[in-house]
Amino acid sequence: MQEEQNLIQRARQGDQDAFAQLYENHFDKIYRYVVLKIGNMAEAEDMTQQVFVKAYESIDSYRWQGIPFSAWLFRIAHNQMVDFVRKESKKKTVPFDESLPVLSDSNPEHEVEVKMEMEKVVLASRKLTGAQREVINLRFAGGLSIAEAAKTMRKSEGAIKALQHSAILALRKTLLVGE
Amino acid sequence: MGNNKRFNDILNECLEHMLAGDETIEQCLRRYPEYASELGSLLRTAVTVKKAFDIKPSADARARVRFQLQSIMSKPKAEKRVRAAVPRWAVAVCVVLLVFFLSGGTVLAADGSMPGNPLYPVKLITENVRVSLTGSEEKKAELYALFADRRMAELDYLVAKGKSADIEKVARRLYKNYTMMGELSFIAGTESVTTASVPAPMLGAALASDNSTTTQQAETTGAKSIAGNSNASIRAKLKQILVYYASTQSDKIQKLLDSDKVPESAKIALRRALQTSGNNYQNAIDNLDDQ
Repeated sequence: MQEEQNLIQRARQGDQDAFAQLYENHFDKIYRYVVLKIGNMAEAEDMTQQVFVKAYESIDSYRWQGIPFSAWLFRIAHNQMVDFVRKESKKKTVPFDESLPVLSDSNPEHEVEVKMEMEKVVLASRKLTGAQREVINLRFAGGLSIAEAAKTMRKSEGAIKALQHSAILALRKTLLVGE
Repeated sequence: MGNNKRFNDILNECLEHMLAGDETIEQCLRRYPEYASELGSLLRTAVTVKKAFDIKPSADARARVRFQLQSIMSKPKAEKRVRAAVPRWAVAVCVVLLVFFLSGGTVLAADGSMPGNPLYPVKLITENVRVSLTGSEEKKAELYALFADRRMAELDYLVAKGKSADIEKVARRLYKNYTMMGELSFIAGTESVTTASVPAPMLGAALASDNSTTTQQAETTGAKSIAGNSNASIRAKLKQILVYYASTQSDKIQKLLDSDKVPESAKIALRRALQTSGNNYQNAIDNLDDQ
């Protein structure tokens, strides 16, 4: 954490290498969060880029006051997603992008199975309430802790745990029904 | 099992260990045998979700985004515009006062106008202005609920007057109203409730009044709705308002659907409105409960 604070401090002073390191540290999580929200790889790359550009442009406004950098970054990502989803909701439902990368595996049959499982879970997650889906995305895609997710969503840790429970319960029911 | 705190804590503790890879499901269940049945199925679902979400970005994607980012970083940062610190509510009040004084009370007069009245377009424009000048998503949800109630009053008026041509237009407006509500990020569940930055509509009486109270009366009497209190009480009040509107409006829409004075073309929009309103109100109310 001290190391990250140093990077942030340097990035705020204009050190581009420091910001590039922050990018490397958080890219995977943000990309995963974004791609699962919008279900399209090409758009996810653009959106991830916009998140980091926005973070770079507004790094001066970030203050290390009990809000982890990751939570701040995910708030930016969430706000970008809100605008995107609002525009996309006027179009037909975004289909699941079958070109989404998965764990690399030389077995094509296994890869197909994994993709089918992923599609099932992603489609099931779209039936959750907005808050439930956000908790699942932050915890399982973004890898945030309960405390970080709470800061991102501006809710208490108890509320996040309750949402996590209800979301997993709802997913279990949907996935069982689909079998 | 419900959402009780202890179970939530145990579930989370087990999840943390499993996601970190230092414990299996069975090890967790051995520690909490009294919860084994419910806990086991939830943890297995969580493992499925975690595996499904384990997407690896390609090295190409990472490099492309980094390249674009570095191109942008290499340019000088734009000068930050210094905005005057004018609160949104002040802008809204100025706009409304300006329109009022310029139009001699037209805006106020328009609020109660019905389709076909020359002031009706002013009513619709004022509604759009109010939404666009409203800062918080929760206040926008409240406005949309209020405007949906106005559409219901207009539909009742049109049905009583036999103005079939306008019924479909208003029904579509009602459907669009609910659609806009559903697009609010608050309905998506993550916006916090902020204290009022725009004076709230006067909706307090709507909670106490019976169905015969006109929308205009509900709007102009009673206490302010969700201005200026703690987050918890704001959410509680907003939930009360939305629960009220959800049930009264769905009853009213159903009544219109059952009426043979409403043309079939309007009923198509009303059915969509009924479904959309049900989903969006429920999402909003659920998200207010998710504390």
